[in-house]
Amino acid sequence: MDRNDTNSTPVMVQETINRVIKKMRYRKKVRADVRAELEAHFEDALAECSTPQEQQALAEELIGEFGDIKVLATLIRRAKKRCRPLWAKVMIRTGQVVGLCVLYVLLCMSRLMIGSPTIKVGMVDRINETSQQGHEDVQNAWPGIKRAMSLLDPLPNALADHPRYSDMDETQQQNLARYVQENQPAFAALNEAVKKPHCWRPFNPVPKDAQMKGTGGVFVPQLMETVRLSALLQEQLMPDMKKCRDLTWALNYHRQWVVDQGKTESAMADSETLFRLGHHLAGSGLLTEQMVGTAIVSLACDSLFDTLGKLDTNEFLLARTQQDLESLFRKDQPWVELTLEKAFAEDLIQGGFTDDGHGNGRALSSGVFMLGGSPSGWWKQLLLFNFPDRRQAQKHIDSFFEDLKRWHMIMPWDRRNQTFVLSDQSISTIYAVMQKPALERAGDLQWQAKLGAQAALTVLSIKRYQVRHGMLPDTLNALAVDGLMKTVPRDFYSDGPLTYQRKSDTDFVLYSWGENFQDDQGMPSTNREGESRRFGSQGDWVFWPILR
Amino acid sequence: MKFESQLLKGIAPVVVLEILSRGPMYGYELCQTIEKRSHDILCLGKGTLYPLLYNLEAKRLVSTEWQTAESGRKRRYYAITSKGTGELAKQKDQLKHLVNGLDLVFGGALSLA
Repeated sequence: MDRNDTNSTPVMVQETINRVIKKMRYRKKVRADVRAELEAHFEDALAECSTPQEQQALAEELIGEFGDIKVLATLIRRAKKRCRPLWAKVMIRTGQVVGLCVLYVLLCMSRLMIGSPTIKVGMVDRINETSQQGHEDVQNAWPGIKRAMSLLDPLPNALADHPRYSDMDETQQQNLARYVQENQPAFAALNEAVKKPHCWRPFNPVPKDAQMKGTGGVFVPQLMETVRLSALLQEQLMPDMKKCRDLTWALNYHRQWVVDQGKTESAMADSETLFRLGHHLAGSGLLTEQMVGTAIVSLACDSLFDTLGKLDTNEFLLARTQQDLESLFRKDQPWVELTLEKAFAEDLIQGGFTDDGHGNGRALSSGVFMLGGSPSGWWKQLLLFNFPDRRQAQKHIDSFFEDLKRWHMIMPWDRRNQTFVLSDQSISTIYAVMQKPALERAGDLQWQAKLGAQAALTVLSIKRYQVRHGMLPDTLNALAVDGLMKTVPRDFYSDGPLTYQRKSDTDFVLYSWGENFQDDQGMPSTNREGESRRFGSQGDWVFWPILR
Repeated sequence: MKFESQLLKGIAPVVVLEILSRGPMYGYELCQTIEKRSHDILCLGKGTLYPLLYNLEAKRLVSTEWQTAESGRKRRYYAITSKGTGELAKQKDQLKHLVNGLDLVFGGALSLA
């Protein structure tokens, strides 16, 4: 309670003090302080009065001296506020600033929350249409591949770590032989399927209420439909990719088994099937599929080298394999294909912007991923809520994928001293920054796979030369002169052809300079930890002789 | 004689600091002392006094302390701080210059009066 009832001052004084205190509208403790001081003031002034009448008269005079009560209360409040300690002032100011910021953000956010996107094209339909590219269904290798996967028995546990056939004991070899023989129908189905000219994997429609695993279906689906769809499509894709991987290993085991049987033609056919499967997957579809395809091509290269290293062949077989592979890898550019990745980005735009019916619209909450400008400019745009409109966002995306395509086309050697810098148009989007590392790396992996294929063709030619002339060529130029290759095979990681050295009439070395862009005299590559790697960052990428 | 409030407002802080420089005082006492020492020429309105004291406190020119008198009455005493002493000296110096300036303007009439 503010009022001191034990006070002996006249009622009118008490009322005046009460009014001052009431109008102060400030903290209780401060009000009590001021009240005590004012009461003391009046008590001191009235102490000398001997009669109540005198007291009354003096009290009226004193009250008059205080002037306007409201003004007094205001002046006291202001003065008391100034008396606050620094920490309290800082806290209050900070609170005010934060409050204002929150208010500002809420006001601006409300603009992002109002409105809804117009979904004209379904994501799954767009992907299926884009990947089919107008080809007839009968040209699609995927149904056959899928059938082969369904015919395949699961890989035995003993093969989980992918041991080499030659490292297995007799029992293991017998078990493997039984496994690959039992799965002949799967291999035959795969062999037939991959001969088709195209491959696309149709996605099933995603139910509207389907949720991503682990999200509880609350946050992500409502915030960004594209993210949800992307994850759900990956969920459809991954089991197939796993089966594809098992099928690949199983076929490679079949090849190792037939190599052991001395069946060159069958082993070469298996390698060729692997090449075709890898090529199908690497050249289209989602990035995940392409990466699996790239890995299969690398395995196919190794499998071919292994076969050629262990078995004698005839020129006809070599020539046929070479011709088949050349038809597969005739394109000069890497295979990385980003059409579907771009479709995802465009779906982000579709779901993240309103549609004014004229190709433009403003950003909604999920459109913030299309924020433009330099990264430092993001803050400015975020603070000002100045997001790009739909057209600008589309321009950013177009430019980003153009930049990537251009970058992927540059041979690793030609860009050895450069870093991938996006153009001003596309440097900016949060989307671009998030996607850039993965998409950039995808291009690198594709160059490696293409190099492997190049090396495979070269080894086939060398072997042909050896069969034809009974000796190895002195240089790779001899292959071109002999018509075994159209041109001398280029090393994408040096300024010349793949490095070839004839060691004897039967031995040779073939390698690329690798990612460090220097000739390490054929020293096999390792990763930074010194572990042996086909495409390690140190040393050379040696394709021949075959390294364990 | 009553001063214009704006005129008094300008010199009120320095007057209060000057009085407090002679010893701590509570509000009413301070008011009485000013009137007495100025022979009732300077009479601060009570509505001005307390906000003024609180402002001086906010500027750390004065410090405050509650004390209980022998009569049992609690009073808030105001005392000048070292910062207040410095400010007083500065203000006094300025006031002196002001008076000199005014004196010159009025051709010595202020001194003679």
